[in-house]
Amino acid sequence: MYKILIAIFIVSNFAFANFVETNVKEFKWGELDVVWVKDSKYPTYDIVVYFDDGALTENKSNLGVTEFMFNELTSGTNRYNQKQILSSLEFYGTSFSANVTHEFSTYSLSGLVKDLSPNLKMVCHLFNNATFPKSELKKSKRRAVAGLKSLVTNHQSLANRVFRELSLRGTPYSKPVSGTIETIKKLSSKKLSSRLEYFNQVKKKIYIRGPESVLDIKNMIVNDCSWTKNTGAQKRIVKEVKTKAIDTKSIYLVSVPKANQAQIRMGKVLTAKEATKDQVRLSFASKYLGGGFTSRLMQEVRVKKGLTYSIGAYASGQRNYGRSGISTFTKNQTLVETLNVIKATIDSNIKNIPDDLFNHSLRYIKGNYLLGMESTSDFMNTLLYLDHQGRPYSDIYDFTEEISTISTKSLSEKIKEIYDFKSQMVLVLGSSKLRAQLKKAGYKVKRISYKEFL
Amino acid sequence: MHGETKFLSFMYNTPNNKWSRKHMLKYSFLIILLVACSTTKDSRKSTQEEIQFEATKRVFDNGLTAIIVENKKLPVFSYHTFYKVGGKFETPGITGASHFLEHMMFKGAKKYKMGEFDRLVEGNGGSNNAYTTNDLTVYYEDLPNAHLETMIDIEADRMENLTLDKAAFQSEKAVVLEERRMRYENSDRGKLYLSMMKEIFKGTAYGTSVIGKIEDLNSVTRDQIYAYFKKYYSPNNAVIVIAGDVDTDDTLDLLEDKFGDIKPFKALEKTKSDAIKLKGFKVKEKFGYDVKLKGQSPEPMFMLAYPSEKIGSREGFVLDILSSILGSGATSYLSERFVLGKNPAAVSISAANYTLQDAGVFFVMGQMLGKKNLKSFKRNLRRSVVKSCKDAITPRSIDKVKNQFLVSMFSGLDSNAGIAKFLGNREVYFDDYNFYKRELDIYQSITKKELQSACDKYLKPSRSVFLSIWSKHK
Repeated sequence: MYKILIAIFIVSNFAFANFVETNVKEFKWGELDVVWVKDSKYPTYDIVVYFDDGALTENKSNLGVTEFMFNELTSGTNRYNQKQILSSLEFYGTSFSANVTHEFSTYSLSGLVKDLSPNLKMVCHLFNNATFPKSELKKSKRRAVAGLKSLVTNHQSLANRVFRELSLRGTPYSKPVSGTIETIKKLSSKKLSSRLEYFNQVKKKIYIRGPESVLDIKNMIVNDCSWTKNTGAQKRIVKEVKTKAIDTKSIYLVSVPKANQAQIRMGKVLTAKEATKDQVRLSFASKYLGGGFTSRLMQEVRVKKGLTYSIGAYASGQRNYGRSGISTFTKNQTLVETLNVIKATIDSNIKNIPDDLFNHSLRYIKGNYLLGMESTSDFMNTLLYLDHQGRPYSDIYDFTEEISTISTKSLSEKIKEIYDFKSQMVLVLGSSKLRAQLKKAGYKVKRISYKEFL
Repeated sequence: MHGETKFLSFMYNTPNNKWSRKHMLKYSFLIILLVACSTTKDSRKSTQEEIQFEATKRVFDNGLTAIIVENKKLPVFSYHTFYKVGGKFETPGITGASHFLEHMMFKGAKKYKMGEFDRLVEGNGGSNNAYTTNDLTVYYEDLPNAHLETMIDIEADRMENLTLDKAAFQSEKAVVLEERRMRYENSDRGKLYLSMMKEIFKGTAYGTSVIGKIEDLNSVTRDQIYAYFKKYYSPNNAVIVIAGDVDTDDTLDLLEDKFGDIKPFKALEKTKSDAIKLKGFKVKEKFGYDVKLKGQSPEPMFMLAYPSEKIGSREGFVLDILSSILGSGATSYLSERFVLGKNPAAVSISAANYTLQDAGVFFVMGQMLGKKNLKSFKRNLRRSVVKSCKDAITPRSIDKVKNQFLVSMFSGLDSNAGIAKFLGNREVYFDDYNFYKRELDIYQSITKKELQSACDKYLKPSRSVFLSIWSKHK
């Protein structure tokens, strides 16, 4: 299969059409769209149910209800209790999990093909009959709250959570999909049932990976699951996300006790246009700066200066918004120096990108793009993501050609547009003593408590 | 770990990622999976056929072992080098040397100078990384197959001619210290794990941390590290596994051409034995005490640890199964009691049997819920583990574990890197990349009685250490 894929990268749209014809099939099962990626390597399957909504349509007081609803599907139905449900699924070694983003959600199931039928039957039963028993919900809420409180011991996750909310403030995307302590405490069985009812009517699409025999599930999907009913009945209305002026003279300092290392996050919100219309250049800019060991930031901050163990840049989008940023950490004593090196690196590459570094990065990105799809499951998830964004599958194969048209000048411009230090919101999470260091370096420091973000 | 975004350094020793202990202990488990769903000989045979490898092994005159696996599905390959050196060989003053060398191996050699390694790998569309454990240091690269010869040449160059540039040596020290802060000093879970290993393996060669003591990292010299390198990074201490779209004969010829003239370190076995002799692996049998650590966690995180058995021993395999029965999945014995039960006491709980080459540790870990008494929790946990020897081991629970591992085995073999790792670990630990076939028989023959007997023998409260980390501890 992948030999064909490689050929597609190199040759033509004709080969692409041939590849899709051979290995990717699309069906209509009732009203439901189905994508099957043929893979007979091992007797295993992956099924991913895509729901065209996520946390965006949650009320302010119900934040986290979507993720909770999916996670609590196994807590009980009108026929089985939690133990019976989990025992049944776990006995077969089946993996099952939900992923909720703001714009879409997925429910995934994987295991051995020979066990697919009982596994899927149970999952369909859950979507039709979950009751979210109060006793189980109470325990889950307690665990979730405890988990949030213990974030203080995981500085990287805590910094990510705080930075996301701060940088997206004023947009519908700012609140965490997992909810907050306050909203989780208010969740009820009724709210979860109502959310499930809503999701059973949201537009869906199913992605299947496995050998041909996995298609035997068609009857079960059509007859036993609620997924083929009323698909597409709901349509979200999402306001366009607008970028806003950022107070770039300030640094947000989130203090945590006893930290001898400072977490650094910086970045900005991207509009739908920025996030989706120019994705290849966006991807090039982020990887050139902070993807791989030979990226500019890695070379300057870690290799030359020894200031960190890891630094990375990212830029990605959903359908109606995106985010770009840089993430790293350093010991307390070198916080300002690290910020300065990051700034200097960005500035220098806005000014000029040497041809040799540009070509090196281009080769790295092309190769990694290919290696990133070695797993058929990953390839299938790429198809799902393209569908969500409303992009054609041919984007995968056009990537190599499109990235080759980018010039050093054009890349510099994109770096300026996305990563210019002057346009970044900067957050530091660490010891409260860092305040003095930042102030001395001329930064205005806004102190905030991490507890506001739990 | 050399790389930047995958925080998986010395993966078997990092408690915070899936790959760490679980993957290690499940290496010996993988083949359980083959038996797992099989109730008849015929069905087992068909599963075995699913994982046949086109592998060829050759041991060169200088002691270098190479295993080539042809997998033509994609024009790429994965190249793994297993050096049989890890934290256990480090003597006082140079703790962390193996891990530090893991970083320095990317800092230039005679032919491929500073920065060339990464430039050639990434510049040819590939990626690379490495990890260090108590037993091993493993380097790996994934690349399009047109670059196989270059990769072999680079690996041979750094095995024979590593330069250990002085400026890079100092700069990389700072990087390693930063890694240490990230993984352990600013992580309650990391602190707890380090402390557990230190307690169980106190006074043995496994009793020091793989990343090294801060004072040793600060004081170690280039000459000390270079001397360590010359002893352990020789062809007779390495296993290379290449899996992917390569030709076996051509690849072996290339390996012979590039590595064939590198001299073996003749005193390797004596050097290893001398290093180990200083401390040995004899773990004490009596524990039965608690360790309290001051941390930031608002509720206690805990580990209950018992000395267990080394990888490859029959009881080691038995304890592998037992750990999953007790603490793998929501319906495991301990999860049902402490997390999902009527009166839950924990946010999470899991168990693992971490089998090292010369010793092992069985542990239960998790986090308590608020408003629970630590003392009574600890008492209940120890009692539950004892009780599990009678209650938890049922034919269904044994079958469940086998099914779970069958699925995870297939997912682990979905890439060239997964195949290389799978075979390389068996070659290193058992001198036989095909050892999984014997493991199959071993796991199949393990009985409920054996599981109960191992549970009674190994999981006694007097053999355990209970460690907790909490903001309220002094």
